[in-house]
Amino acid sequence: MSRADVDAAAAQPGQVQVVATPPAPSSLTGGRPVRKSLLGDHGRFLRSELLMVFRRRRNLAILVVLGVVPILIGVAVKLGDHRERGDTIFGGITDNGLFAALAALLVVMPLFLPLGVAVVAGDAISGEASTGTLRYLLAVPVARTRLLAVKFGGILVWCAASVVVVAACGVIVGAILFPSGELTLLSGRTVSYAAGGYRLLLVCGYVAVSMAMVGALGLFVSTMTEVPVAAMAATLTLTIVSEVLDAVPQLSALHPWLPSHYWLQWVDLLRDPMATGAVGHGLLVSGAYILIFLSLAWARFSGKDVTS
Amino acid sequence: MTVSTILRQHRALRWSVPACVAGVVALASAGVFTAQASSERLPSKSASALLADVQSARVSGLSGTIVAKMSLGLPSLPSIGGNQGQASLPSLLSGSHTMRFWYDGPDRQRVALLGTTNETDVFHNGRDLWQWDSDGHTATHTVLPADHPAAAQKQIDLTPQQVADRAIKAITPSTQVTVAANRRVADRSAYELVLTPRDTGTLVGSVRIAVDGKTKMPLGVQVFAKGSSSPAIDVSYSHVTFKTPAADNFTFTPPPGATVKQGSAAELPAKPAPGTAPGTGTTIGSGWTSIFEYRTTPAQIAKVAGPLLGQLKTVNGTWGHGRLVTSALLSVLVTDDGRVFAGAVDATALYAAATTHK
Repeated sequence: MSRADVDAAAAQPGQVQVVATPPAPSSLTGGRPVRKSLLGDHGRFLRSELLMVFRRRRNLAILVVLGVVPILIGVAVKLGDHRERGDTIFGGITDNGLFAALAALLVVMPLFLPLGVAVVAGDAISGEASTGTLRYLLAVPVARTRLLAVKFGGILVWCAASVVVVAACGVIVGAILFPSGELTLLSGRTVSYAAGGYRLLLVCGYVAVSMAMVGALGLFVSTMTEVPVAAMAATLTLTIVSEVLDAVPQLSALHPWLPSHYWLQWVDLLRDPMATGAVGHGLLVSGAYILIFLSLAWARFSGKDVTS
Repeated sequence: MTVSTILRQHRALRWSVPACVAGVVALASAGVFTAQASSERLPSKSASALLADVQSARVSGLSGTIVAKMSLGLPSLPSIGGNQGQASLPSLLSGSHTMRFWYDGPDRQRVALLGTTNETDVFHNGRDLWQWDSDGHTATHTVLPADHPAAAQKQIDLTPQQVADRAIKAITPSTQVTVAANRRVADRSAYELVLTPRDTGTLVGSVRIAVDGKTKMPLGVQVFAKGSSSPAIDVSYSHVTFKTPAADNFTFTPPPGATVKQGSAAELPAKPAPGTAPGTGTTIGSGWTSIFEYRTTPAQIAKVAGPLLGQLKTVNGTWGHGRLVTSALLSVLVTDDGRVFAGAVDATALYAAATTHK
């Protein structure tokens, strides 16, 4: 792609140029930071990104699989042997349908959710590169930082959507198959169904933030390659490595630094009173890793030669 | 030249941004930005004055989170004791455990032992003692006899206060007591009381008790094995508030669907803490090298620790045959004729005790 293309694209009428210095002469570094103060423009960009993510058949299939998990759990518990109660969260399903959602989150947390997020996040930049649309996207012109921001915005919405699908299917299945009265918390004390639903919402938020961390990692990996499958696999592999290391007791000194160490800490939100200390710590760890991976993604992507 | 221009011309410089982010995060997690609070110095205090303060310190109410880390080097223990619902308490002997603790005088306490996806609670409110086990969905109710005020403490035996009390009881003329540099525990300034056994026969290197500067409550106890720089036992508050907790923290009503059992005060489980006496027995010697002896029958031992026993090293000597567990801090000898010797001493001391106490 030649300089002339970029300049021609950038100089379209209606585009406000803020930058005074010309871009570096070497190649397409940094794109052109053309800014529009209108939020609507960002919104349009994000909307088209979201449409792209949520219209892909592959991604819809992931959401369907995630939604099926709580249904399977609910039906299995309903049909299963009631003499064996199971542990706290699975055992709670027969008492309150909300536990179907919580049990499903427990099941999808180690693999299914990170897998879904890795697929979308790993595809974010490398997918555009592999289909050859990245250079056109940047030629529109879109500043690279803004492109990254919109891609991460899409990933965030995807994370929230995957979690909500699991939780919502769980709540619906639970409400159909099991009682929906007072919820017995882990501490053996009860709260109303509405208060239980509120705690489930908090749990969803926590899980979504944990998954956003996988998303940020995926976005960074995605800027490193033009092969989307490689980015997805690498993201998932790194996530699983973190979980495996977390399971080795001899490495306990390392555990608090692992991104996945606090993933199951949302269980603390189901105690009475809520134990927020470790939950807050988990959010800080996720937030720190998100910052690190996003800045890595930015450093990599804004200095990259885009040729495809 | 603006920053963005510089970054555009020197691509490698871009990587300094994530490097800075990582650096700031690392410093923040290492507590550099909150460190200025620790510069507040406590007035210096002599060891004996501090010791007296600790023994008389009692607060009216508190709530906090206690983290107990055990690295005794013991083989991982299956839940010994066989008392259902309490199965998670003996597991405290290894690994890291988080407990939440609420305290409102001797009559009302609550301890919650937090598992990854479960919880075990003990609620003590007046004469009511409720034990809740979330995995079994089981609540056990025990009515304490009126003259049994300390019954709940017997169950809840791992707060820094109780561990510190035990360590201070062990102080004999053979202990050197010093005050080390101030420490920060649970985000509070604390004195550090260091108990060092003069007796060379014990495996205990030192016991370090962090004493809250304001309330003089023990905030943390660390037990170091001889020659070790990391604690074998570390029971410390990670967070503590010296305010009387709300009354509803101590009440418990079994949730619908729960199995409710009636316990009897006589069946209250023995103390799970390491190095202390479960049930009755005799103590041989005194101070740091004292050895606890428990006489039972081989059948009883096999019942309680059968599968575990088979994995242990067989030993024999003039005292007979038996099995030995040694760890950094604690040695246990189980003889084939049904005697158990345990102490913070090495195996030879246990053999000597077994020989002299036939």
